[in-house]
Amino acid sequence: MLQLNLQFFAHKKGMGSTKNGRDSNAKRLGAKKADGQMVKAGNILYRQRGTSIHPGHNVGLGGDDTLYALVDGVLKFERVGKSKKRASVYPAQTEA
Amino acid sequence: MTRAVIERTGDGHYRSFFVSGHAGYAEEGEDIVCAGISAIVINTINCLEDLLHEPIGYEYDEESGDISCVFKKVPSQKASFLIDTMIHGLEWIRLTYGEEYLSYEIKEV
Repeated sequence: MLQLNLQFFAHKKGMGSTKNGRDSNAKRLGAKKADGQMVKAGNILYRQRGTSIHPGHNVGLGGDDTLYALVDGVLKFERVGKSKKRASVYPAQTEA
Repeated sequence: MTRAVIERTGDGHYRSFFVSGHAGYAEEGEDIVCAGISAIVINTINCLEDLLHEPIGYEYDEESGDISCVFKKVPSQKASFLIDTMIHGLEWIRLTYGEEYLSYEIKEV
């Protein structure tokens, strides 16, 4: 159940600019989950600007290029070809 | 600008949606466009979970202002209709207040 915060998508106060004029609260980019970690469907995996890491198996791509898990499973960061990387989620092997 | 990406599979079933970014219509506490978007999106997730007990996974980050929501199974007809109403509401906010505050995309996957 989510709190119905009517200012959820509002520009938060205190996100002013620093002396050098840039927005001080840089969005914390990068990995939010580690390689090999168990993740749940919906979990945010990686925040980025542009797709340095591409969505792989069972991974969705948000409008701001954030990667999120589409299934419960194990997160894997994989190399694709020489220079590309992708994130995939593999459903955990259920016990037979 | 708040951006919504709604994923739909080839056979027409919704798979997930991801809403991110600040509307930027006004400062926190006065941003009525953000309030409309927040009410529509958050209420949709709460109804999926509380009223329909739909198997979903979701995560949210208040500071960066993004929400992911994933259907773990093919959504029920009622759940799909809830997403239709969410999209309809977002469309009317976009039409009324403009694309510079809200854009959305239905992505076939």
